[in-house]
Amino acid sequence: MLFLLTMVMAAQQPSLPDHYRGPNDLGPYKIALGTPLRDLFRILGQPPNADAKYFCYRSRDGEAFLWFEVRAHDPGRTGDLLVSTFPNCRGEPVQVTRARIGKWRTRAGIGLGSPQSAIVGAYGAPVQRWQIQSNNPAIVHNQTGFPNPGPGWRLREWGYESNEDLRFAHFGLRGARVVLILIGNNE
Amino acid sequence: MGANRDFDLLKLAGLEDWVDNPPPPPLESAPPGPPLAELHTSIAGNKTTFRSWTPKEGYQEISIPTRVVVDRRYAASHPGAGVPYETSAIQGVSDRHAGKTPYGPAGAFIDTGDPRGRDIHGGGSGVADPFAPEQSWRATDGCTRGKNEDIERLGRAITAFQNAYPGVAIPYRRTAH
Repeated sequence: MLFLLTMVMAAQQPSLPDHYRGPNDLGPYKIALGTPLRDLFRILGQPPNADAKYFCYRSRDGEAFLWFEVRAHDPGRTGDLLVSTFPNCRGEPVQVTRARIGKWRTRAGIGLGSPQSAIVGAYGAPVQRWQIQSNNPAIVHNQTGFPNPGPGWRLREWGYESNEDLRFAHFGLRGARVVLILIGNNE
Repeated sequence: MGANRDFDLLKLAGLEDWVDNPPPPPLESAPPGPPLAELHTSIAGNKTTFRSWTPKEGYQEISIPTRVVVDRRYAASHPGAGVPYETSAIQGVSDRHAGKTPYGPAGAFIDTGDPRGRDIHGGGSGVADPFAPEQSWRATDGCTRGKNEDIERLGRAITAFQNAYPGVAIPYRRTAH
């Protein structure tokens, strides 16, 4: 596995809240028990292998990338979904889509390029914070569940999650702008 | 059997203290001998234990911390997701989900033989370190979650037993206490 990504956890792991207060959607993706795969395929285009476990798309302008996986206990639904300003596939075939994935927003209007202040304004302070640094020239969605933005990149990642709820959302920040959104509801 | 019936009659008459309590009736068959094994998850106890009894190594027990914390909304829409259940035979360690974020690394998934798929595994979507030996805790959709390295250790003991005694089924129980 590619563990060339260095992740520095916050010095003190905070206790998680009881209730999730992050976003519940991103563009057409609805977090509640996963959006049906067929709905995403209608928007994004049919993948070469609809029975695959992971799917990867790129916007036509090459400025946004989308990766998502099948939900663990519901094969017809989406588990985690990731949009980023950099490629995030793990070797899956990349499909070019007409969908404007770079414009996908949460209901509160947060998307790629949004300022970090907007995240705090919409969802409050994050419950988890990480620093991610990469030395890996390969551009992949890392097996740790975090994307690798390429050599020399540093990301701050903010997490929203809770104790007894599988919903979560991570915002990756470069500078003070969102370059990554990982959102999911999966075991 | 006759002695027991006579004693019951004496009890009904309030005279049981005047005679010796008869011995329990003989078992219809002797308890099975070794090798034996079972896997047990205590939901309230937050642990999963593998017990084995073999002629060669005697009684052995491995216990690891586990949690059964089911996503509230999933539990509401899928009754029975987080409740006790049992199976007559586990499948054992399976790598069919190895490397997937929800399940963790190879060796960290134990198929309990449950047709609903409520198995025992590590990993966790959304946590920072789903493949780390001691990844963060995460709720499930009904499965029992453990730390990756603990599940792997438990799985090695189960696999060793299954390899040594391939004909012996390992029953599984997930109980409330």
